[in-house]
Amino acid sequence: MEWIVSYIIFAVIGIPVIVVLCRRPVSRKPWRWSFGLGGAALFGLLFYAFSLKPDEHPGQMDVEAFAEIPVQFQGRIMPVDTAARTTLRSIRGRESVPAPSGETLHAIDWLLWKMAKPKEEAKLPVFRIDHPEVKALFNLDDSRKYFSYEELLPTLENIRENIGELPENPEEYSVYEQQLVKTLNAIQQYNQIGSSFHPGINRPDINALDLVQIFGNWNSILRIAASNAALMQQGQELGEQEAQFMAILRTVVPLVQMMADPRGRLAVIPPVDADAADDETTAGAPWLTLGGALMETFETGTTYEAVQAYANLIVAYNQGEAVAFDNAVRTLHSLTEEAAPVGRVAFEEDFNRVSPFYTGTVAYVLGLVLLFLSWLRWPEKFPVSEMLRQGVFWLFLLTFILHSWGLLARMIIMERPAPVTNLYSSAVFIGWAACGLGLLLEQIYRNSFGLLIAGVIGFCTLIIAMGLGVSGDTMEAMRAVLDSNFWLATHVVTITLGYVPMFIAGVLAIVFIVRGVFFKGMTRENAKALAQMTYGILAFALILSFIGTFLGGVWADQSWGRFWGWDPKENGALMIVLWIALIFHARIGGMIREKGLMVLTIGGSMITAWSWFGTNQLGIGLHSYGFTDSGHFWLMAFWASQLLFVLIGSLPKSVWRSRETLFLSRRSTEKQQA
Amino acid sequence: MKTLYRLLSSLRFTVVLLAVSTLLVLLGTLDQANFGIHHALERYFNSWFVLSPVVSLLGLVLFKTYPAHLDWLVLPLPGGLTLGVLLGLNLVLAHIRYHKFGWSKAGITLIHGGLVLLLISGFMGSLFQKEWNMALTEGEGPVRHLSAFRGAELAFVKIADDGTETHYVADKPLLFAGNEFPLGDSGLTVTIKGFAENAATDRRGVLARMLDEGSIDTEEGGKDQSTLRTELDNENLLLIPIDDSAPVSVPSDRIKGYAADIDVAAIIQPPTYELNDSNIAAGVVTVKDGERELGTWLVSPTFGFIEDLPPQSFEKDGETYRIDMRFPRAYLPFSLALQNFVHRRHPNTDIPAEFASDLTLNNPETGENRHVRISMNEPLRYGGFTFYQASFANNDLTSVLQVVRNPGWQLPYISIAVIGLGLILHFLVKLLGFSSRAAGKADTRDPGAKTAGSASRPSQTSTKA
Repeated sequence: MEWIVSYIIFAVIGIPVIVVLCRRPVSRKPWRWSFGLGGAALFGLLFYAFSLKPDEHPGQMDVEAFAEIPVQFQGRIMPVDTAARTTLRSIRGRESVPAPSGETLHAIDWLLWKMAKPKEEAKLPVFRIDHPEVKALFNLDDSRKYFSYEELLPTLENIRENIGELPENPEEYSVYEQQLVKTLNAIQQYNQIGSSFHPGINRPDINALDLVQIFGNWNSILRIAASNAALMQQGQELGEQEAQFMAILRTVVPLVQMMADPRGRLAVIPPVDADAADDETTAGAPWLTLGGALMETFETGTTYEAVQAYANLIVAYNQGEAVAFDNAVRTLHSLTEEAAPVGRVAFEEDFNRVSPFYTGTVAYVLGLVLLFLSWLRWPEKFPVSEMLRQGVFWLFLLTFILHSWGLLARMIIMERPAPVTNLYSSAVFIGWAACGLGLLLEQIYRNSFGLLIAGVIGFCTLIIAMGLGVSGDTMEAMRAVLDSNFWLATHVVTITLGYVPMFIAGVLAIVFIVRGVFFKGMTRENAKALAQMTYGILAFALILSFIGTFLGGVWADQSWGRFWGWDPKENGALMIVLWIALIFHARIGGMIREKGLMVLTIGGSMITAWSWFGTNQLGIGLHSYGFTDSGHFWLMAFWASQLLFVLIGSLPKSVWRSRETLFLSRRSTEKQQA
Repeated sequence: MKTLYRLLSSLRFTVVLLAVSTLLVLLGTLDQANFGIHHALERYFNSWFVLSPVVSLLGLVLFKTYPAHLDWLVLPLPGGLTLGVLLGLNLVLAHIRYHKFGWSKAGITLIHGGLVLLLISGFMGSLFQKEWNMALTEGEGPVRHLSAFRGAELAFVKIADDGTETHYVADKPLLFAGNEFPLGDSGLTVTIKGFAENAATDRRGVLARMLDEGSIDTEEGGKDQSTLRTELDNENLLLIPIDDSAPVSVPSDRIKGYAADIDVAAIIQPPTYELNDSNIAAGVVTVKDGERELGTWLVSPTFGFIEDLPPQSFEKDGETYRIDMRFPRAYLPFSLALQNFVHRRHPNTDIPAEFASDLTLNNPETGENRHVRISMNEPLRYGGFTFYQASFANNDLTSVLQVVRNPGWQLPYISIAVIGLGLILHFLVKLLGFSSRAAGKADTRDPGAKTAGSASRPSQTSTKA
């Protein structure tokens, strides 16, 4: 039942786009087509450059095959590449890092360095630190943004000890405290993912590669240890070599124990029996970390081939032995085959490589630039504006398709029938819908306004999504509460989507009023066209707000057994619905004309701002998420500005500078009609 | 009559109603912000008429504080129920007056039909919907009763030798200071020495600490802290008001139960209307067997949460009576027993993945005795009740269900489906007609002219009429 609504949303937005596009008449002017093709070609170029072109990795090894190996991280099975990207993104803000040689290391290369070349890796600038006080605390150069672990290490211990007491509630952190905690968390995350394989440079007394080799020969080492122990039990003295061996083992075992804890680490070893552990306490079988598998061998004698394969892989990468590396990768693929949904993991890796939303961002911003160019004054002879408009239309259309594919791909990977599961995906989804809506408007009005909407909102939401994606896995395992409140996610998105057209309509209304009051020459046709557009956009807002309100109701019913809970946020959406209904009925009943429509539409903007921010300000209900005083100020400022336009719009017709072309001609048409 | 019909069926009336509704929702939201959801429901949404302190409420928006001294500036408004009735009436009459059937209008008809249904369901909800919760513990056998979230009842539970319980229950109307009533056929007489709808009840030491922390509301009563502290230290005072009224005082040799054993007392609090905050009552009760006084007890539902303490009770003629102040109960014609509560996490993390209760449903009327599972996504709908997985406690041994009875729960779904269908139909019809016109026309003419013309038909009809 749940998924039906998602598809209805898809259908409500998608079908009209398709229908309208199918009805797009083929232009007989060949130059139009050629520019449409130009836009398509531009898209193709972008798509190749940012999505299809294979990444270059240093060395001869088949890193791409390694990237697809499944691991369990943060509660779900993913390609190891996703884990690498997620981690690097959250500590560095980007998915790549420059090597000293000038090459670009992609996230997966970085992880390989961390596994196999920890000393070199510790010199890579993988931490982004912005706050000057935090930089000063770590004794760092204030003019730089990115820092290596080696640079942080000397001061780290001291800072950890002297951090002092932070406020209990993270909301009370100062900006400095926030940034410091963020940096410390990044360091922890970095160390945890690294210590999935060995403790890296944190233990200068132990060579990481030696340790890995010990892991690779764990069985025989344990056997030797057992025979040594037997000798000791018999009261025999150990030889010097044997004693040294046992001493090393004594330092290694606690390290292995530390590495066994799966929290924050990559669980890379598939469980022996994938179905056994799916019980009352966990959803899905937990994989073992490398350390966990070693401990298992230590305690129960169960051996794991994958441990050896990982050890081989790390050593081979360190030595630059391509054949050995590729062999290890192949072994790991065959060892994880049974426990992991291989097809889905491979698809996720394809999704990572295509990175549709990144390519989309580039396409939207490029399209916007072309669109701005089209508004320049071009010589009349050359229809450059129209050609550019055509080009951007096709560019955006193809981007929209890529954007849709990205959303669908996420649904397939997460095995969730919902496009929206968290804040990140809600932003992506809003962008997608705005792009669809923009293309639709463009198709109808052909004045590049729709393209502007598609470009601006598509670009902004994808940037917002990127910002949100920095906090972690964008396809994170869903919490039970959220899971049951899946509706909450969809409902918030549709409600938010409903705000978008309300504000667009508000802008149109302001354009109408300013043009009519302060400028001469606005005609009946202009007015009617603007009014018609506003009306259509309001209709769209009505549908979205209504669906959003409905989803909220279903959510409430599913969670608490009441369809409507009078929650402030829901009341806000209800007010939007009521207000649009009011505008429609007033217009149908002939109580308002274009001017009245516009004034009421600005009122709609004010109500929308209220439901978006004002209700949060109240700090009550299920939707209240922190609101600052500056938020209150801006809300008041927005209202004041809108009220001003309402007042201007309500000025008597006689002071409108466009009165002659706007109102007088209507009277004459009315007379004609009578 | 005809004028009234004209008025009630006019679009002008629709617009006025919609405007008033918007205002009511806004003021109701603000009221909720200041007084809590139950207050707003009572005054604004589930009411016929409201006098709204509009100036104070708007002050809340502008200055983020509620200027209470301005709350005499009220705006009379129709309440949610009135508006619902009028909107429904207006909708139906307007349809009778204006509507003609046809494909192009089918969407509109559906939308409005769905709206009428939605209004009806809203009414059914506000009139008939009831909510309780139900706590079940693994291994504690079947449970038949539900507990309300608000209010209180005083129960004397006679426990016979074979374990059967007889509940003598005094409802809220009986619970006021000075009331004396016989307890059914038990031969006991109960005197309510004091009763508070909401109170902070705990050990005196804990209450003193809460006073220091400011987590006890003393502002509304106006009694100063030091007086309160003195009264709290007086072991004769069981129920302490925060205003000038007299505390309930009992000679210490007559105090029985927790008040004597672990030194609990209660400070009266103003009632709360918050969604997540219940009023927790407290009472002081004296029980007499004929002329012989058995003792005086401080009772409160809070005590249900104090573990490892024997319930407050007394003996009469060799039978044990348990004294219980509790949230009002309702009884199901069937029982549920918790077999197992499932709390699963995502592998290698603490992220909760699932909450579910495995239950046995036993209905003697139908002879059903079967296993049911309630999880966060899937409530159990049975016998007119809906059971939701709400929470858990007690180391995953106790599962708390939320129980709702709403006879019209399907109505919103049906009506919204109808409205949604109508909206999609209507706008698709518009869009198709519209885009074909827009595409077919030369750029000079306004593509919407025809739509606007046909849309303004009702006003023309009304001028003709």
